[in-house]
Amino acid sequence: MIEISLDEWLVKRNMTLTQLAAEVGITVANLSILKTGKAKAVRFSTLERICAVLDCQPGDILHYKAQ
Amino acid sequence: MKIGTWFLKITIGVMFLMAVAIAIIPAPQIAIAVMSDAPKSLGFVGLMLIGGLYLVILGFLAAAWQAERLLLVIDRSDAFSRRSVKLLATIKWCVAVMAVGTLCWLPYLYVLVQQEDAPGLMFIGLCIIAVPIVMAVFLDVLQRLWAAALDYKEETDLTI
Repeated sequence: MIEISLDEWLVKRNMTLTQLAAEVGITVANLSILKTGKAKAVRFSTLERICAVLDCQPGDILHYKAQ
Repeated sequence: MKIGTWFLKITIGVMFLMAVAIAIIPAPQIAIAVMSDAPKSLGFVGLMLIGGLYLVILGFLAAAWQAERLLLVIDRSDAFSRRSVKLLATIKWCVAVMAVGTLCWLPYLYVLVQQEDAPGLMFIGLCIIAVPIVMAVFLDVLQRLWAAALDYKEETDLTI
């Protein structure tokens, strides 16, 4: 499965989920779906904005974990 | 509530009441007439007809009730939910019960056709029997389509 480590990067950048949602331009509810791993897919545009705001690479926040 | 929904609800309600009326007034009369006319050897055929008739009425009442619930779900803008798919599946099985009920009429229909020597009656009877079967098949197709649309919607909803 694919894990998303948003929490770690939020701490690193000293940001809250609400701040990230505002800067990325998506709702907190949607960001929460992404954070809790309930999302089925992520748009490249969303990933691009998250990476731009957190100043990281997609591989920094997305990890594959064998089930 | 929308006018269209009201119209459908009232129509289903009227059909529900008519089915109840049929079950209370003409159905017992038919049952008495069939059982008193039938010779002893054909008693089982008469019983199957009466049983089938009540099975059709019960299936219809259940289907009408579920259809009312489905309309309520649609009216709450919750049409694409697991609940509505489940309700549609229940309606399908209610119609399947109606189909089984109409199939129970076949032996009586055959006897009637033999007695009256009217083969056309068999054709008309078979057409009536085919109605719930066709309805059940189309409802199954609709349920699968609805479920597929719901899967698609859920995937779109969970695409961030």
